Amino acid sequence: MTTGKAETTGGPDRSLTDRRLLILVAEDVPVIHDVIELSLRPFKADYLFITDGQEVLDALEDTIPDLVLLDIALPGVDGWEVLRQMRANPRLSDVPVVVITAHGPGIEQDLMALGANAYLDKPFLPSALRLIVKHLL
Amino acid sequence: MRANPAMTDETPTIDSNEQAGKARRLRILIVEDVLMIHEVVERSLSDLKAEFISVRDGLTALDEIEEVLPDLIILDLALPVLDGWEVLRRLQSDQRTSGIPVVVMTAHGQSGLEQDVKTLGASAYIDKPFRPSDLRSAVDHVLGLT
Repeated sequence: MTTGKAETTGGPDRSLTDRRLLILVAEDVPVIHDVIELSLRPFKADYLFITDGQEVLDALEDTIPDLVLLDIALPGVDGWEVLRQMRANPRLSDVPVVVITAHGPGIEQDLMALGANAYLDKPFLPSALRLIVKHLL
Repeated sequence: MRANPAMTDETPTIDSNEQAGKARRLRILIVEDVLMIHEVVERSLSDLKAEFISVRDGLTALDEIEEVLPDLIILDLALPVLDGWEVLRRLQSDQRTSGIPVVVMTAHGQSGLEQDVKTLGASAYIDKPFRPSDLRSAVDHVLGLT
């Protein structure tokens, strides 16, 4: 295995204010990433945009986000399994999860029983997402 | 916290006023093989006046440390080529590098590691998965910012 080169960046100049949120967005449609980021602009947040369920689980082995926005229909490991594994892990069981679903009515109770904190139907209003996030955080 | 042997008149300071531009930026080396975690670490520490240097394996880390003598090292133990344990050992055995503060990150569930890494010279230890705030607290403590 070859070694890699070092990369450098100059960190952004920021004054000491409230800590920025880390939001993990598990969604395989890239345009939704943009919608989410725009919708949540009033919040000071950094984002991890992940398009595959297994990659979500891998990321959650390394870091605990402040919030997870989870599409239930993810490729690879689906959102149901991601949620199940999160709630089975004591380190992740308290992380707020908003499930985003295009499934229509009928699965909300199952989602909440599995430990989702809230859900949003697609297509969703930016204001609805903002309200939920504000409430959860 | 250990004294950094590289401290000179260019000792970096954390200063948010207009004089800050004259102080050398902190150099923070991130040693982690998962690219996404580099981003998380940088964002966690984004309000420090820091230059972040990213490497993804232990051998490159040692080369980089020798070249730039960072002010702080964030070190994952599970690395390719040369693991974090060996990086720690080699840093300790070299007078030029033994005083550089190291925050070690390691997978949760490996009990007993904290004492082992501290014996090897780590200044602080955080479990993965980590909260950004936990990393920031560890760095603040190690750099004497609290």
